[in-house]
Amino acid sequence: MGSKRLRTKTKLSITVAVLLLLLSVFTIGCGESPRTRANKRHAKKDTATAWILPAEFNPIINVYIENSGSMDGYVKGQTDFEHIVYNYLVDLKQIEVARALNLFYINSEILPQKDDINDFIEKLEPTSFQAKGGNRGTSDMALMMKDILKDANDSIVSILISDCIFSPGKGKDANDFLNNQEIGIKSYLGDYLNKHKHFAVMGYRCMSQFDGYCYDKNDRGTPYKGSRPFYIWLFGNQGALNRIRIEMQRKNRPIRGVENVFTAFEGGTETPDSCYAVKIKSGNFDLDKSDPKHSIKNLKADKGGRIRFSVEVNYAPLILGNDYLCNKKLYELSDPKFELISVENIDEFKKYSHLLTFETKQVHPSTLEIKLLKDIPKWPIQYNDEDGGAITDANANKTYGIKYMTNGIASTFSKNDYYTRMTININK
Amino acid sequence: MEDLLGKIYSLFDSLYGKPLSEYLWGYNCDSQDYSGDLIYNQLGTIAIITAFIVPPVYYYLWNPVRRQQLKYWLLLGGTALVNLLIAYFMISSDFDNGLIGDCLMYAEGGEPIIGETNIVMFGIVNALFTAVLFFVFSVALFKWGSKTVKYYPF
Repeated sequence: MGSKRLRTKTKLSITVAVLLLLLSVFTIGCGESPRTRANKRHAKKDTATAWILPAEFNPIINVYIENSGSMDGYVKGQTDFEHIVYNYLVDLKQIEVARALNLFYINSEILPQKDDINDFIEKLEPTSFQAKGGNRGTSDMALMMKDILKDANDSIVSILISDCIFSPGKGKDANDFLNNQEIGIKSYLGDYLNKHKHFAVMGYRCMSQFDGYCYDKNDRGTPYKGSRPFYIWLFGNQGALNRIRIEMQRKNRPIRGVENVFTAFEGGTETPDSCYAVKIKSGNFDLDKSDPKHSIKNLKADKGGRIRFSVEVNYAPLILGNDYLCNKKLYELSDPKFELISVENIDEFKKYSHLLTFETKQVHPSTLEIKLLKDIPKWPIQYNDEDGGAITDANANKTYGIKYMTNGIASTFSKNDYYTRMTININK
Repeated sequence: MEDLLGKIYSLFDSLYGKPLSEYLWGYNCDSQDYSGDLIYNQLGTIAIITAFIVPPVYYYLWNPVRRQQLKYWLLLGGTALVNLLIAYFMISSDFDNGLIGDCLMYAEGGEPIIGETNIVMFGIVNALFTAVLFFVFSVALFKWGSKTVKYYPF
């Protein structure tokens, strides 16, 4: 009897044990884990974003050089203007981003030219400017932009090279003209933005020798020989502009002679999930297994007593310069108990372009939203010529009306006060 | 439940270091997520199975009639040692083959932060985990059915 009870007990023990083992192995090995579900969720979210254009996107590039009378002084003899434009056009061709590179003169009308860069540059002389025709007496920047964008679309990048001097012509109220130009630019660009939501504008201010007539706001020409500014403006899809910018940098072909940069686009987007991630080991915390890129747990003070973590982010698609992106003041945090202590440039050509490090004095649960704010460059105010009088050495580096132009562009993209935002969950 | 074994091991990660722990969790430096193999589960499952299979051998097949106590602890120690070696060689192999990502292998200054010591320490943790399971399974499940050694280990 005793032996039989013992055998029954043994069988029972083994049965329970086997069941326990099977249960534990089954629960470990089977089922869709939170990690798997999280990965699927993020993969889905990423495919829904249109933040970055595919790398193989090749736009058509249309280059417009203004040939109004005030431009003659930039092309008399050998000038930096010619060298910069020539190099830029050659670089645009050689970086092999453009599907086609078309050349035009522009004043009151668009004048197509042969697509031969050498020939185009060789003919950059006052006489050929004059010979190309059109109304060279006035410069209506707003109408030029309207003309340039009339047939543009997301696969076209338009480049306007101009001195950007607003020239109303004789007998017109210059102040009214400037205000109307600003409104006109806002209106034309705004119409285009409504149809092309990824529209962006980039501007470069360059300096060149000048030898010719400068025209004041009353269209009176006075001779001037010295250094004068001119501008290269790019209009097009943000991804396409970025492709050009990044390829120029990758192939080490920066635009020569650039003194100032102006960038404008609407922004207001979420930074895609694939474009930022908490950097592992950047502080004393655990990554949340269900969302390791964007959530941390158990954030505590490290050995040095600092409570910190870093986030790697790819801001390269934002067509903003490194100085802008590394300016801590341009970031807004939703939780004032956290502080952005540094922004470092990693590498624009790698997966992440910047490293943001945050610190807090007090550990607490938080959903930290980090906004990259819009900040309109101040240089157009500094280099704006308010008077529109005769050019002298004192105001030669200024441009009549440039402020109104950049204001018009900036106000086109004023719906959002930030470019992009991302969220990190902390100890939630 | 998938994370249960990892959570148990992680209680002791201060002994072998967080970077190695992240690797055992399956952290992938390229994708920056836990898409790699969950090695905690692989080693934990081996530990459970061995701690489950060996005690019945002692209680039902071997049934030693002398020095039962010593033989029990030797068997427990041997099973733990085997699991230490399994963990050591498995992780060493990944280490030698460069499967542990640089983001875990190196500190900011470039100095390595996962080495032989970390791997040995994890092996010891794995051995202790196996020993505890061996003991619990023995006491809770197997010893009661044994004819001759049901009073061992106590």
